[in-house]
Amino acid sequence: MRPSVLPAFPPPPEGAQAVADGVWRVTGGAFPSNAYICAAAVPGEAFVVDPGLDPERIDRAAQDLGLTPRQVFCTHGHFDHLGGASHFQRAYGAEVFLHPADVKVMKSSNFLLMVLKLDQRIVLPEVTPVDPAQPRVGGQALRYLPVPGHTPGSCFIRFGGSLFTGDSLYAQGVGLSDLPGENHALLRQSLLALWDQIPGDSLIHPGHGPSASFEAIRTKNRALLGFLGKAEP
Amino acid sequence: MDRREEVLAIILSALESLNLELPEAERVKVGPTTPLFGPDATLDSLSLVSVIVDVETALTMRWDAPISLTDDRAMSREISPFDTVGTLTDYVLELLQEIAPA
Repeated sequence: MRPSVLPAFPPPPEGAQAVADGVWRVTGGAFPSNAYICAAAVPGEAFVVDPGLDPERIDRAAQDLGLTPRQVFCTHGHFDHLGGASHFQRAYGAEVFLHPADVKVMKSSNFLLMVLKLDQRIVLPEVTPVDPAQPRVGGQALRYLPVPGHTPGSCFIRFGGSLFTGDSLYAQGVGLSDLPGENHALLRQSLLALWDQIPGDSLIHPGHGPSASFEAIRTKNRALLGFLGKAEP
Repeated sequence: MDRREEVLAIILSALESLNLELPEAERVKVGPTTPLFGPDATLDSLSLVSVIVDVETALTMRWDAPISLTDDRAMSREISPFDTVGTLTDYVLELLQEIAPA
């Protein structure tokens, strides 16, 4: 639960952008991706969604907001969404949550960094497997919604009116990587299964690119509509 | 067929499967000394990942045990398992010796 009276946060620090009430986006890393700092119910505490390859930048932004990241929630196990998790585990003892079907994906992170010719290597975090049936993962008012396809354990993370979608749903275009393990048909099936359950006023916060309301995405993202077979002729 | 020959056959088969998907001009020369990664390799990034995943899958089915070629153990070795088909064969044999001693 969010506190009924929200504390006043300072203006967004450099490199961070407020994208919803108590949610800030920080974009960075050698393989640029969006991380999100979310104010937790406990004053002065936060959790981070999808810390990528520049955790120091995320950490600085959290500190400037007067927040200490105590937990990390990952939408999936790719390095550009989980690579910074161990930083918060080491610095603050943060628990790191990931769907169990993506642990193997996570363990391949440094191999993928090598083949993509990126010099950076990551330290793998100790992860707590997520049970999507739990209504309050990690004691936070958030929920994991499995969306297998981009990876076997990809999930949406719902937090209030925000939906963190990783690489499974973008505001613009479709996030198809063609990496082995990605299953386009399964991604289509997963998105269609949730399509009518997502409120139009939900704010979609993807792993790359800008945020948008779901209503805007489902009416204007023609590439996605084509992928889903929903485009008008 | 001894174990080395069997592992080598699995790796070469994965490369031959990849070649079936590539235009003729981009096909990889398949043999025990084929470079997989590095300046001499002709595989692109996604092709290498695809081959390694295929090899992992085939090994796991053949030996009925999960075998990971892409975790940090592989990444921390002085000689990269991904240099050539030969170095990958050596690494797989080392892993198999632990889970199913010959």
